[in-house]
Amino acid sequence: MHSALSVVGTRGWIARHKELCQWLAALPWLLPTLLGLLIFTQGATFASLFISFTHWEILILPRWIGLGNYIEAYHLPLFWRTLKNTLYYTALSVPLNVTIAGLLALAMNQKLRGITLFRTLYFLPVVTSTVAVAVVWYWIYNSEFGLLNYVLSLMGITGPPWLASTRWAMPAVIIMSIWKGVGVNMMIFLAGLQDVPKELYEAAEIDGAGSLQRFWHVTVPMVSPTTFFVLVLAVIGSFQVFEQTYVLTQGGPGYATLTLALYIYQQAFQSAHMGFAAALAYVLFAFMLAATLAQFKLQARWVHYG
Amino acid sequence: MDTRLTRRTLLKAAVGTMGVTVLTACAPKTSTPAAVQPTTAPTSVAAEPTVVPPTAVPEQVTLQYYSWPGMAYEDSERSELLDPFEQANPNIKVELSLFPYDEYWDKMLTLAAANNLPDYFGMCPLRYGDWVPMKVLMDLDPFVDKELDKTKFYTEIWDQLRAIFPSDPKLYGLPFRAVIEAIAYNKNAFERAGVAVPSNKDWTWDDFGQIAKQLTLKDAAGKVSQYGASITTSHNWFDAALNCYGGEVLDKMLRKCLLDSERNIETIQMFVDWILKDHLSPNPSELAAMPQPFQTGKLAMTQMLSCQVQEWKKIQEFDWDVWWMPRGPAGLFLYGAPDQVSIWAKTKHPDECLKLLKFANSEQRGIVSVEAGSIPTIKAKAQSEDWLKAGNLDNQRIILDEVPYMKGADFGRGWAEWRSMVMNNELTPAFLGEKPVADAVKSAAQAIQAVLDKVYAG
Repeated sequence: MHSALSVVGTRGWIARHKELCQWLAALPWLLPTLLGLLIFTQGATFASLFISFTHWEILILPRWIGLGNYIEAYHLPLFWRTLKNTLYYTALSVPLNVTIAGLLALAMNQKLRGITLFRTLYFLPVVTSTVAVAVVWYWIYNSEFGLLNYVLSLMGITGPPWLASTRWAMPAVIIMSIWKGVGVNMMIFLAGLQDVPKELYEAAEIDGAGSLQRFWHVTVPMVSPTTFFVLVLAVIGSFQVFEQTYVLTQGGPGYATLTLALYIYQQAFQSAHMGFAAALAYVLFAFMLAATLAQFKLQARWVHYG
Repeated sequence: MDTRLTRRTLLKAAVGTMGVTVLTACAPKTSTPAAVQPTTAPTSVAAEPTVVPPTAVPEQVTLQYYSWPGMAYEDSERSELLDPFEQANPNIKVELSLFPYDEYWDKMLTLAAANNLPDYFGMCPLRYGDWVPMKVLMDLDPFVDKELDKTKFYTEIWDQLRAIFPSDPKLYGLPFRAVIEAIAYNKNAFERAGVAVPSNKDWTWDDFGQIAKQLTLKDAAGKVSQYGASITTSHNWFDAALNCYGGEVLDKMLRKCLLDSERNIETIQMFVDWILKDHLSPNPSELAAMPQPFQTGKLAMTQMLSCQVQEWKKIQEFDWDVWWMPRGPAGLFLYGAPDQVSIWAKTKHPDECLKLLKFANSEQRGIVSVEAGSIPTIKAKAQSEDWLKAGNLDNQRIILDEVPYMKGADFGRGWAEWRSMVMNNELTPAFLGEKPVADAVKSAAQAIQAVLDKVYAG
């Protein structure tokens, strides 16, 4: 009698708290991932926030210094130099990457025999290791024996000493980054293009719109959500540029390619200034957050949903 | 019986699985049975025979030895040091692990933070100044005082290490070799230019510049086909060259940057003019594009580290040799630095590590593992015919004769940051002609001082 009553009581409780019970049922399956995220990602994130307010050099115990690291960064000319380099990289690489990816997507959005092969070829650099790609490009850029300057010489142009030039080193890094990363944006744009209803093109054609007008008045607005998505990710990715500069130039020559992410790495893992590096990481995060928020704020002006 | 898989069943299975997993992970380790210890029979008043305890078997010990290629080579380190040592000490095994140089220091820092350093490891003067304050290196002065006959060693090489940390000048590593700077010259290049090879031990940097100008040749198109020398900001020669002109980079306590003195600015201007006006050296961009410029015959002369003899002795395209570094108005100063091994202060096997260290510094060790051109700290080894002939050079003796003039490169705390990263990057625009020398030097001095202030603030 009692057990029957308790079963009825339990069932009633479950019925009244259906959502909670569903959540509790899912919890054991989610727990491994949640714990991993909490300990190794969020935990590390909050730990580094604390570390950014300390002076800590690995084996010397952390010492609380409040905003000392942030103030030091503010007064350090090299910090502003790395920020300038990072913004330079972003200002050049993002528009080029997005534009080239969009144009490639338009080209790949054709029903032609063998188009899949071309899509694969453009996507191949994306799945190749950045380090391996950088090593190959290191030799392509060699001013004495490199392929690029050889091709330029055939056109009567004397190529610059790419990676060894304070003027050309960053453009060289950008070119390599675009070559490596344009494929993934191309695929995203391709998906967006294939989602545009054909009726809109037909209607525009009936109304007498030419191909350029159809592109400008149908394609561009309809693909604008995809463009926005690609832009946000490209900006965030550009602020974090690291592997290319680490392998190609190590931040040189003369700091020309020293980006904030590479500087953070050098400060943390080569110079063991953990507190200072953590502060720089949060400054970088603040810039990325500001850029992303600005993009979200501005999207209402040019992104068309539905 | 209802065998449908319900949500309740699934939930029970999940919780049960997790519970088993947790319990298994938390199960106390079953202790291994203690080894049977030999027991001594209690002595008693009665005249019973005394039981003699069995001889204690030395504990089998494995030492972890970490280093990088260049500091140690697997084959020669094994054949000349580790295998003979293990034969002489059957209870000690040494596991050698080599890592690429850059990766090595990241790894060692991580291991230090985890309190899990290898017992015995390679150390170099560039990093020594940062590692001493970490208090993870064993003080080897007691060992040296007790076990080594100092008269048999180049103790001036040991003193180079002490000078890196003047506030704590103990030996926290024991150098087993030193590398020293010398001038390498291409005999065929001298012949092509019709210039006599260096023969004056007391030649100056001005003489060097004059000779390098004569050695710089251009092809029919006006492009330089052979440079007289290479002028860089490398610590391997640059800092000592400034000393030759009476300048300093840091003060004696290695805390204040003195790079922006008028004397230094004049000296650096001279080197920059050699590149930009006289074109006797490629600029940094051009040099970066030349793989192995001396070995490929692009440079008639170059500053070289003596350990490079090991690799360059394979050059067959031309004849070459070494000569004295040039001197300046303030005298002869040339770069030289010890390579050493250190022992982890918290190693569980200090005695075994010190045995290995003693063996590594004995005459039983061969010279191949020390690398041709690198100077063994053991005098007998360095002055042996084997070493003097190891590089196939007529003038290899000069490398030994230069030892009294060797000077480090102000290795101290933060060296890797202020010297490798900051100073080189700050001066490069001047060497490319993109910034006036005085501005670049002053900017470098400020940036270097900022680094020093930060490292010493801790």
